[in-house]
Amino acid sequence: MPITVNDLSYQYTDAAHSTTALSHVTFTIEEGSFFAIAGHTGSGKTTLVQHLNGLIPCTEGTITVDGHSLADKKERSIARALVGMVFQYPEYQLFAETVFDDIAFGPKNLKLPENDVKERVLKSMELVGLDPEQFREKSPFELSGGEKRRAALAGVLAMQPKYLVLDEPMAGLDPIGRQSILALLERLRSEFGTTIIMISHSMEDIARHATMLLVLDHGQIAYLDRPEIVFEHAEELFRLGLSVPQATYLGMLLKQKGFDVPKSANNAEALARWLKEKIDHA
Amino acid sequence: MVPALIQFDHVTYRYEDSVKKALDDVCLTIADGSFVAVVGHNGSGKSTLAKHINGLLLPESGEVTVNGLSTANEENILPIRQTVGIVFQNPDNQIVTTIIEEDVAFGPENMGVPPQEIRKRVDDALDTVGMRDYAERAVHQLSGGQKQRIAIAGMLALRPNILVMDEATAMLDPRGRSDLIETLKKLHAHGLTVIMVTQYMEEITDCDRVIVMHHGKIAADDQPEAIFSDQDLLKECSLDVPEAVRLAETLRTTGLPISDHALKTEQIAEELCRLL
Ligand SMILES: Nc1ncnc2c1ncn2[C@@H]1O[C@H](COP(=O)(O)OP(=O)(O)OP(=O)(O)O)[C@@H](O)[C@H]1O
Ligand SMILES: Nc1ncnc2c1ncn2[C@@H]1O[C@H](COP(=O)(O)OP(=O)(O)O)[C@@H](O)[C@H]1O
Ligand SMILES: [Mg+2]
Ligand SMILES: [Mg+2]
Repeated sequence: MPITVNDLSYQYTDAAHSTTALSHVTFTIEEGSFFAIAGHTGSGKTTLVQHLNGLIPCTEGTITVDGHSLADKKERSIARALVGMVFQYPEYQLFAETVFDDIAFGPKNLKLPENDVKERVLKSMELVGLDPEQFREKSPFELSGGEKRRAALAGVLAMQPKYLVLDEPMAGLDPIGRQSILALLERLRSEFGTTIIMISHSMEDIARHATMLLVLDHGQIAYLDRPEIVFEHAEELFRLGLSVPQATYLGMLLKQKGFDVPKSANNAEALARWLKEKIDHA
Repeated sequence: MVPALIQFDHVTYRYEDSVKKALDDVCLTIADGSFVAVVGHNGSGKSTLAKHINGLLLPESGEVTVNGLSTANEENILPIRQTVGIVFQNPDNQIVTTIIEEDVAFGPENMGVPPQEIRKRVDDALDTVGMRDYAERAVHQLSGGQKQRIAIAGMLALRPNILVMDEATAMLDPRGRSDLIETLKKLHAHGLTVIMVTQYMEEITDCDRVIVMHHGKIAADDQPEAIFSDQDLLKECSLDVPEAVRLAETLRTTGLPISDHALKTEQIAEELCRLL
């Protein structure tokens, strides 16, 4: 069953101002998909995903997770347990004395037997690539940037969420850190069928991994489609403060110079083949 | 010869209780008016290097001088901090007041800039980062990328001679990032020295010079083209290349003669147009 978001709007209000962060947003996240969310700074991405696990209560519109409505008090706790949330810079929220205790915090709150907690923690550490021997007794504050990020992720994975929401999980990581997070997300999808919902500014990562792409613009849906279809609207995406993968961008530049680049040449390999043929025939 | 502005002379640094050297015998000269990028894996020492430039950290051995003033001498710290502005990665640690324009004005006020001049600087800085409309808003009401823009504006309002950006663009959207690079290039053309720590290789293709940090040491110090075509170095230091370089590589593999000077997609397009 999917997550459905129906006519969701949200305003932040205080005494002086009211900001519309989301306005009439409707979409579905299919189970097992890799669902990417992009949009300019302040477009409402974080506000949207914070609704998905009930962190921000729905004031206008409805959300259901596997049929459980977030509006209903009883169903909300079932729904929230299905959705794991990794915040922007999650490492700032590490707090416990050891990496083990930090990751164990959630499962312990579920009142699971001690052995189950331990099993979940070790499994999550293995998943994110933190060797338990080496790391379990370390203080989270002694870890490198990339290791901290993975420890924070492990804490969410230990809750075994069916839907994993990540707010710019690769920001600030080096290439190896980025690749290891992306590989982990793919593994979670294939091994456990976890649905991935990821906010990202990297059009390359989105093109390579996402099955669906939602583009927000000032709190409204600008595009919702498979990434390769959305990227056909390159010029519009630039206007919205975004970009496109460089292969798409190259296609766009060549088109602007008068070449009839076909739609099918929408990735580096396909574009290269088309160019080669064209030059060989010239 | 252009005078040395920043000089690291055999600088070594270890954080308290740590055996590992975060900086290991680093020697470095940065000339006035340069645009230098600093790259390297997480934990390679980039931020530690940055914090030595304005004396936030002091060498365990060796010496750092800015304009000839040593950071080891306490009397030099104030003039050095008036010269060097640093923007860090996490904006939450840098924002000090609740209202945005007050936050941007905070630094200049502390430096005794006259009120009218402050007004102008704050407006200019907010314009530059595209946040003028938010001047009277509360900082806690901002999105991640918006906070990052405010932290950058706060530093621009100080009008430093040297601007150090320590991964300060990590949360910006693509346009925000390219706008900021354009702004830095403009300020650089007017004499600002820029030191840019980043994980985004696209941002540094126009730099004069790229310094690659690796386990506390400088592993390479060269022009961008040289760095991005040195396969052994890229591998050894697990560096990324700009996406355009990867694209050019794919084109070359297919048999298209793209040069390895092409670091940007625009350059690839130009080369292709000559072929087509
Ligand atoms: N706590 C808050 N109070 C008031 N307004 C807020 C609050 N949080 C966000 N906003 C505003 O709501 C809008 C959407 O913010 P949101 O954090 O969802 O953006 P975002 O797309 O995640 O941006 P970014 O890419 O910069 O993280 C912005 O205009 C922002 O200023
Ligand atoms: N406050 C600190 N306390 C102890 N060790 C630190 C601290 N900050 C950084 N380090 C260590 O110093 C080394 C260099 O870190 P840093 O300069 O932050 O690297 P970078 O900015 O390149 O990611 C790393 O081994 C890191 O773990
Ligand atoms: Mg956000
Ligand atoms: Mg750093």
